[in-house]
Amino acid sequence: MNSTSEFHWHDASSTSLKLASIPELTRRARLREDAVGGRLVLLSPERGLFLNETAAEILRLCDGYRSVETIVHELGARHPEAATQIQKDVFTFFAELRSRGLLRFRRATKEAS
Amino acid sequence: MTPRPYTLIAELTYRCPLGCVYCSNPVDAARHERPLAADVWKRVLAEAAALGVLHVHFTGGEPLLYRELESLVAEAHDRGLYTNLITSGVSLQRERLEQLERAGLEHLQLSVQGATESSSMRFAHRPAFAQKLRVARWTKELGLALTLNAVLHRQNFDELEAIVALAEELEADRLELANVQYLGWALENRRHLMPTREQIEHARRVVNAARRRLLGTTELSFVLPDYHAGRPRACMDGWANRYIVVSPNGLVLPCHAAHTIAGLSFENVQGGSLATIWERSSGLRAFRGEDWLPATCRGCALHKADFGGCRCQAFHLTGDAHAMDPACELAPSHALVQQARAVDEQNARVVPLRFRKLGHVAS
Repeated sequence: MNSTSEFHWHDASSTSLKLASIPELTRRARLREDAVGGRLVLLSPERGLFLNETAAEILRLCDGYRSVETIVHELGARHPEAATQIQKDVFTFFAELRSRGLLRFRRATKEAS
Repeated sequence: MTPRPYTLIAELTYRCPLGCVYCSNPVDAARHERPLAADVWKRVLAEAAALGVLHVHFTGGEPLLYRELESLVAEAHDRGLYTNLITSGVSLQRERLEQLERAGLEHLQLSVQGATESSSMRFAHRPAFAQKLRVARWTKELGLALTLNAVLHRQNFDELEAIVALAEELEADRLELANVQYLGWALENRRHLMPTREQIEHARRVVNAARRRLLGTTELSFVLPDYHAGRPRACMDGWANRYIVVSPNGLVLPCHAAHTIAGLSFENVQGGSLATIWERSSGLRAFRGEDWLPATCRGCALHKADFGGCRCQAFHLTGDAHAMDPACELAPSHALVQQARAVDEQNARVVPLRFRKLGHVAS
């Protein structure tokens, strides 16, 4: 059945994520702004995940071009006080979304000419 | 405070080419249908989005029989709603599915009666299986999300492994293994459909193993059936709480079957705005929130999780919609469920299966 819930951090396995891979939403997931509260919500079949600020900031960087490493670096530059925590948070979040089939990772390809 | 609805279930028609023995539509529904005009549905979709609804499920009956389905999908998509078509797939051709995809369809939920053509014949009264496989493949080819939905009951539980394998082979994004809810046609056929405890235990093991294997590819949905769990199900996540159902005739309901409860009054969308009806309808307010809860439920912490169970089940089994859901082992009427479970498991062959009447014949 349907559920619309707050996002919770999980200790999902994140060991297989590679820094060079590029995260992007799968076809079944769609990010939109909520008409009522203005928060970002990640829609997929039967589900809606309301994203907290951290999760929203991470997902906004998942544009199909930036690699995991780039995302971690950019966030680290924005939040130097939390730099050591950021990679762990990003990996945990990505692993959780992947286990729900909402995020996929492709290998970095050479720059198009 | 009136809760925010998150999902609109738009029942476009009760008509259906299949005759499923466990259909949850009201038993006499198709005969009384007066379908809403498309411009009324479009207003409902716009008003639902404004209320905060995020998902719309187009369903029925068979929503493909509603001629202007494409324009409704387009309207829903324009309003930002995540669009889902719940279908038998029976009359769907690839060209129409492409049109629906262009209109903004994002997710298709396809019913299967089992993993074989003979199950389709036995439980839906029509050979639809080969067509369903075609629809599933087109759905994936067009990049839509695909859910396979199988209603499980005593006579098809032995196909469970094959159903899981089918979902895997078709690369379904989700597999919904739904237990029969004994309302409508399913209550008529309960003695044929009631699974045994062993079947459910076996299913639980199969599902748990499949969940681990398919993590990240196919999501499996399966919950213990309320008749066997001793606990009521969290029906619709609470009455008129997160879901709005609009029936083919325009009634605004908390679930698919609430208008079968005698003594409740529901409003029609043709008579007012969805926002006003959602807030004020006496039928929607009847069991909304916790004020109506029987004393036993109020004193039980689990009501936060099960919302007091299913009002339709309470009404159809005890005659009183205010009674505790008989599925709960704390309910004074729980013996009704225990007896039904025992008797129905043993005496299945006495009465023949009743097929849902083919709704598309009448008009």
